Amino acid sequence: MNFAHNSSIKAPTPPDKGSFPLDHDKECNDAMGDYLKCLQQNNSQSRYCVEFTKAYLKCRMDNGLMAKEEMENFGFDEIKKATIVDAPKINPNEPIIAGLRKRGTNN
Amino acid sequence: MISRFTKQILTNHYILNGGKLSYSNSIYSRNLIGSFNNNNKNIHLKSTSTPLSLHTLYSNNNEPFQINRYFSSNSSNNNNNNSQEEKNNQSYEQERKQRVHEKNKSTAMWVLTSIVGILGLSYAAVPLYRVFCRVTGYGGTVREETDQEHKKRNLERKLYPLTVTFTASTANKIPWTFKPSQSSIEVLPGEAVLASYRATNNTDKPIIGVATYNITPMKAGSYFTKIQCFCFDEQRINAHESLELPVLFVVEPEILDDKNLGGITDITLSYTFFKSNDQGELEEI
Repeated sequence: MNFAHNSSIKAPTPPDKGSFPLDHDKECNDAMGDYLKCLQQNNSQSRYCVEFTKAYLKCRMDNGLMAKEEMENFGFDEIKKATIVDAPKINPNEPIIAGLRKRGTNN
Repeated sequence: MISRFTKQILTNHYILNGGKLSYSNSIYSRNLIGSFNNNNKNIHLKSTSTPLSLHTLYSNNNEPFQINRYFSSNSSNNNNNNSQEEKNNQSYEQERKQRVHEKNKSTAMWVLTSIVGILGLSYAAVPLYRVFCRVTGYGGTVREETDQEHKKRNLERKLYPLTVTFTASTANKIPWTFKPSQSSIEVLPGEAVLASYRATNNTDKPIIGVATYNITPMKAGSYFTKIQCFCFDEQRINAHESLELPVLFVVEPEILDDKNLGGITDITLSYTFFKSNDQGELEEI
């Protein structure tokens, strides 16, 4: 695969921790069900369902379906330090004038 | 009484023949140029009337202006002189042949060793290349990591949420039903997010499939880090079995700083399941 000339297209990289083993015995389906319910209730915002995520990962680790990891390593606590702002509004009808800075940038 | 003309011819012949009196050569029958080649090996006479004479041009050892007369014994032993010449010629010949032969032998040895060397190098290159790939991981070689260092992301910054949409598809005529469990999730960059897909094997036989993924827009792909997923590995689903396939991923916070992406807010993750070519070993788990 020759992606070297177009650096914006990256070749697919393998996952950091590899592949999840398959849950044939459906041991963690309940935990996943809880997480999905939480997502539906919270307008699909993942930051309100961190506890369910942790519960699911713990279920996986306990049943030998995932390598054991400290919860801190996933960075669940780091996200609390961030400030959440609104996304910058970009008017899609704004014309692009050649030579000027791109729309959507603040510089 | 020799006329002046023939005298001149004789002296010229004397000089051209290297000062040797060889009455066996007749003046007219012998080719003078031929005699140059034959007799030049033994000619040490260099001085002639002109600095650049045919003599010095045709001689093998070029020592111009050197006066070194070789006089065969000025007697009537011309036959002996001739045989002596021939013997010297022969030994000279032999010596030269021997030198050439030695040179040929050494060249042949050199060529042979280089051929053997290159062949050996090409055979040795296979394990060497394997070692090189294993150490550097060039070209995506799988490397074993015993202790993985966890990337600490600096999240003390402003973030705004992105929407990640999930799509699923099947290809290569795999008889599975494959869909995401949630259509989209609002994600903060830097946060580890869990997503889930569900695959159902609708047939009576266990089938092995392989999944691959794609991120749209393309430029956002470099900021999408999968912690753990079910891609690139052969996954086997038993007959009439439905499986939960989770994905744990992080969107890097640097995506918000990238000017090329220009305030992007939507990313799509699409998974495609292919039927694996290797449907072989069907073992009971």
